[in-house]
Amino acid sequence: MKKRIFFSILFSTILLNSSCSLEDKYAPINEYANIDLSQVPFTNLSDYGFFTGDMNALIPAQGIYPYSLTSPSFADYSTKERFIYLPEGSHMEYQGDFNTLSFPIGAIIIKNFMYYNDIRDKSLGRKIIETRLLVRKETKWKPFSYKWNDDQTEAIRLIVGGTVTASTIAQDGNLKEITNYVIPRELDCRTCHNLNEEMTPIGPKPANLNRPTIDDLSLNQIEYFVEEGILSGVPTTINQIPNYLDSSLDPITRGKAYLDANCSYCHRQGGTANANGLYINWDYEEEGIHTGVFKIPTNFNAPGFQYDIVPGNPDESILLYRMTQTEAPAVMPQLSRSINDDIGIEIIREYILNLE
Amino acid sequence: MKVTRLLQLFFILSIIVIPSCDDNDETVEPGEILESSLISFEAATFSEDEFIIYLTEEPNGKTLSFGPGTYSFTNTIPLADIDNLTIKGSGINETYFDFTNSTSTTGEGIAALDCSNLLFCGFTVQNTNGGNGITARNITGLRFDAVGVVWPETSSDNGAYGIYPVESDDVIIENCYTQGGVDAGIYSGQNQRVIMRNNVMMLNVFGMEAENNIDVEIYGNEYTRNTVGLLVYDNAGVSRIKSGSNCKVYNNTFTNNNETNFANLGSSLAADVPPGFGILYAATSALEITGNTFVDNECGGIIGVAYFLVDFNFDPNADSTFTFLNDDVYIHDNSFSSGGGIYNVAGILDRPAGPLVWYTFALNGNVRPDIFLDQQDYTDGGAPYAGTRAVIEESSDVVILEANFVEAANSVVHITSTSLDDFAGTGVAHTNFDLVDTPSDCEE
Repeated sequence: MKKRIFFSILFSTILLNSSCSLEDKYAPINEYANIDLSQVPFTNLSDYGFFTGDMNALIPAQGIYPYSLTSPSFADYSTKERFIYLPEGSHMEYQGDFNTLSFPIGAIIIKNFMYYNDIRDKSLGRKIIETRLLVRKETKWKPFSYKWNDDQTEAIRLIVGGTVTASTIAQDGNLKEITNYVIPRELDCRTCHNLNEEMTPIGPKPANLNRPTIDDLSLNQIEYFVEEGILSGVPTTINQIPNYLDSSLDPITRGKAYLDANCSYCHRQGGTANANGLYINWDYEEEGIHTGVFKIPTNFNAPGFQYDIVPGNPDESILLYRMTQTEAPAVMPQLSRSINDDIGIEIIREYILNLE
Repeated sequence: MKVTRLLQLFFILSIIVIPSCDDNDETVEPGEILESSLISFEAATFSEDEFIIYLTEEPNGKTLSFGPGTYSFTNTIPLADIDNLTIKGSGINETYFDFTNSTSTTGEGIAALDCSNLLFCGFTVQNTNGGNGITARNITGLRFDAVGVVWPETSSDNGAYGIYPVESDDVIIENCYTQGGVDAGIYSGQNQRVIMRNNVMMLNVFGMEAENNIDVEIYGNEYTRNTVGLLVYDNAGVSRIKSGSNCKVYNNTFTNNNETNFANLGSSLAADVPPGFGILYAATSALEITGNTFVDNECGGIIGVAYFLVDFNFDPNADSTFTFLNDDVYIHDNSFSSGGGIYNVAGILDRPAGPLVWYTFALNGNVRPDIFLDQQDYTDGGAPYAGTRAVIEESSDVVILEANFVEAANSVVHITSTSLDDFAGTGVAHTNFDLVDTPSDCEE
């Protein structure tokens, strides 16, 4: 298999254009959102003061920084809008391209899940379903979950989870009806947000953040963080995990990017599925059985199958089979998908076809 | 007391719809420690949401006690990052956690992750929707005492494993009952220091499975009417413990493990095995089997093979840390008896490894062995993959059959020994280990 070649195309300098500043775009409308950590979790999302004006517009207050990922995971065709809150005067630290940034105590990662009526034209409106928080408490991260009301005016903490229905017109122009969108229970968060026995954020690692900012495509997001003084220790060059939706990429690269975003939070060393010995994170550089090739799964009997991946033969590969299932226990990923990711299935089919 | 606690809870919930908590906010009144650590639930008034809130807010140090009856769940019971928790029913035949109506996407009954000192006792998990009964990952100090996991129907749609602790330390599984597991009723994988004793396993594919563990004692168990009673083996490509060792299997009873395999043919070893064995071992090290009673297991009390028979395509060079042959297996002083004959021929031939077994028996004049071994000389292309023979000390009437399965994929098998004399030697006895006991207050 040709694995190492992927890395050769990934080095890109991040200090591309420092002439532009986002200062005005994210200028404070009100005062710094000083959040009293001892009062967290609040019952109402509005009590945090993350957003100014109508809360559902998700316009960040001072101290709340929007960000996005190169390669976001699939979650039933929902759209995720992400923010980071940092206590005034604090900053994040770089810990390696593929490691989650180090956050100061009191930091909060804010992830809003919503459905646009038509993702191709956001002006046609949207409905926010839920907001998930990861709060950096004194000793550990804690998850808190908020469900938005129908009027889109408030979100109330919901420990016990639930299900809602939703629909959206996806990028392919097709209407996607999600009859069983699952808001996880707070205890379920740990299942994915888990590394080496600690709760952890997944997305905000430099190789995922190495992309333009949301509103200014000429400004690199990491550069923006550094300029704002909220990120330190960044080297001059950083790897990038590319967007798996980019069809100009070769099928192996696309497949690896997809697996990293959608599977590797569990299927990596130290992840929740560590025991299974399947490591499909982007930065796992070894070849052989741990990549899934000719690997017998440890705790799943796939009817008619033998191995996680049979190179060149997607239809005999359990990895692809489980992506096409929606029921327990075969469905993968286990917690974030109730309908198939049609594009993802094609990406992984091509990936396995092109493995040698 | 129980009613009072629940009323208090309802009162609190009615004022603060969503209770909030803080890491450092422990309010325990003096003298109330024991009382406040016990939370009681009754079947008639049980609310799954209340239970989940307890598990979320401040579960550390709690005993969650369930009265008799059936508690219906709509989702997996999640336990994460908890220190010192007891989940206690009124008895294995008194308190039932039923998952018939669960829509869990993992299909599990209970799933515990990154906890310490967990005790489960006195209840039965039943009818999970396709997942394990109880999964426990990365737990330090784990005890199952009088816990049942049951799927009443023998179906390929059942969960793979009943009790499934993995990557954990100091694990005790005792007085438990499992039925209907489509892989194994009780499993222990990549754990250190494990005792599995006095359990009963019936109508599973494997009654029990010990996979990639270090330091195990298995004793006093009853394996009855499974496809195969007990599997001890190492799986390739796992993470924490690549090669298991130091397992002692003693004073167990293996009776009539001849049930037709009800797993779908597929990717698990369980799906491959033909019925009729008490113990199957493969690719493991330092295994002592002694003092067991084998009754009417049609294909033999014990079968030992190399990993190649688990996976014909296995490349032994793929992972140098994996021991794919058996080392230091010591079989002695067991009791074998059989009514004779092979009853479930269709069941045997139904499974990938079945024709090989059947063919080898035929080569041996249809004499059914008590101990059936792979000679483990996998000399291939000049690379010597030669394992060591087990040391066997059994009475002279024990029937041994050893074959060379090197070309088994092509149905070429050579019988290499039928004489106990070939297995003489100095056996490697089990090494004692000190397990850190998680105390059980499961007594009524």
